[in-house]
Amino acid sequence: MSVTPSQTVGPYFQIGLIHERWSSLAGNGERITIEGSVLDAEGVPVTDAMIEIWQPDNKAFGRFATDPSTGRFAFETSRPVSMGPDAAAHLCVGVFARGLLKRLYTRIYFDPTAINGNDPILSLVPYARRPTLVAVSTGDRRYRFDIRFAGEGETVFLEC
Amino acid sequence: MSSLPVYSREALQADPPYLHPPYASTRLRSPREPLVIVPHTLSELSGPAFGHSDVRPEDADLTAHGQGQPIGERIIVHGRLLDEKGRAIPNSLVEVWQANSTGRYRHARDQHDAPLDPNFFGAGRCLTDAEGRYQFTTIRPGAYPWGNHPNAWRPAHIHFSLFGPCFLTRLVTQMYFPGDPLFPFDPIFHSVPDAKARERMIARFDLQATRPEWALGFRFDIVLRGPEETPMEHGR
Repeated sequence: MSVTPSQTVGPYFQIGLIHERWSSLAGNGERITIEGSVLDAEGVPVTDAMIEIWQPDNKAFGRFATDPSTGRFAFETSRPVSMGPDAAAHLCVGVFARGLLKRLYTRIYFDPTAINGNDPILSLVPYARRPTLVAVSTGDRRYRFDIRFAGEGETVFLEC
Repeated sequence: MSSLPVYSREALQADPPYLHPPYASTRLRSPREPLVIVPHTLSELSGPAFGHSDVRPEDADLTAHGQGQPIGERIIVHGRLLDEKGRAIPNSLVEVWQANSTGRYRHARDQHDAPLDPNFFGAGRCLTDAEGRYQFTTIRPGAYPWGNHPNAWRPAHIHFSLFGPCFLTRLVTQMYFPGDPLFPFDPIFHSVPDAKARERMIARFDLQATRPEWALGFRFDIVLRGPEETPMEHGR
């Protein structure tokens, strides 16, 4: 059988998809906060994007919308841990929005030295672009991670 | 060490491209750099599991969420969630959302000058059963205008969100209704390049699912990426 094709979530996905219970990720351990903005090719905040987080090491799922006036987001989770000898700790990120005909997939890494390591996915990314996948520590268990659809500093997106 | 399921990438060809200029919003929201093609690790091959605590039976009846009956043509939308090999995907979360019968969404940003229905909220969810079946009762959504180009109208549709067994099987799509005269003019429908693939987004009228004196039936089967047989299944 052939697969059903993807279509955009459009601008009204909140009606069906946004629930308070998925705004932070379940899990024990040290809690961290990741915050950032979703930006389009001209750097304009995307005020109608939806982000999904899959954290494989503790099987936690999160989903939330960017702020309807600022395009910013913030979520809390427990600090991810590495799942293998070379694999660097990460979160899987799916981005959906009006104008996105299919999900964008990226990853958030936390260890800045991972860009020189042997992570099976990070090591496939052109070296100069790897920093777009690493969250920046802003202290007090907080991290910044922006998602840029295109243009200067375009986030690396993955095909799986 | 147990073997991981193997997913082909062939299925990805059915999807639209990110940049589809006739759909204006894609122009500033599509990546310019090529995607980095990555192997399937445990991260892509695992995913969230949902259960009966995430849904209530009444969530599948969108006509029962208000104080009274919503206005419009009552319909039953049902089908099966399958993978490429035709295997049922059981216990999987299905979420839907849609406009009301006038073509208006219950959303602050929808400014279409058509009435809201106090008895229709437009969201539903359910879990597929052991055979991958799902069913919703709802109101047939109306077509509505949008600002993409002069006199642009979306064909009537219901948004569907599916998970399947892992991160890489996630899908959000739209279900259309058979014979819609707006198909030739809709850049979102036509973002899917292959005509046969577009047809897979169109429900078919299902007289058998119609409940006499009550509601028309439509059938919409949804097919997600599925694993090849794993080495384990060949026996050892």
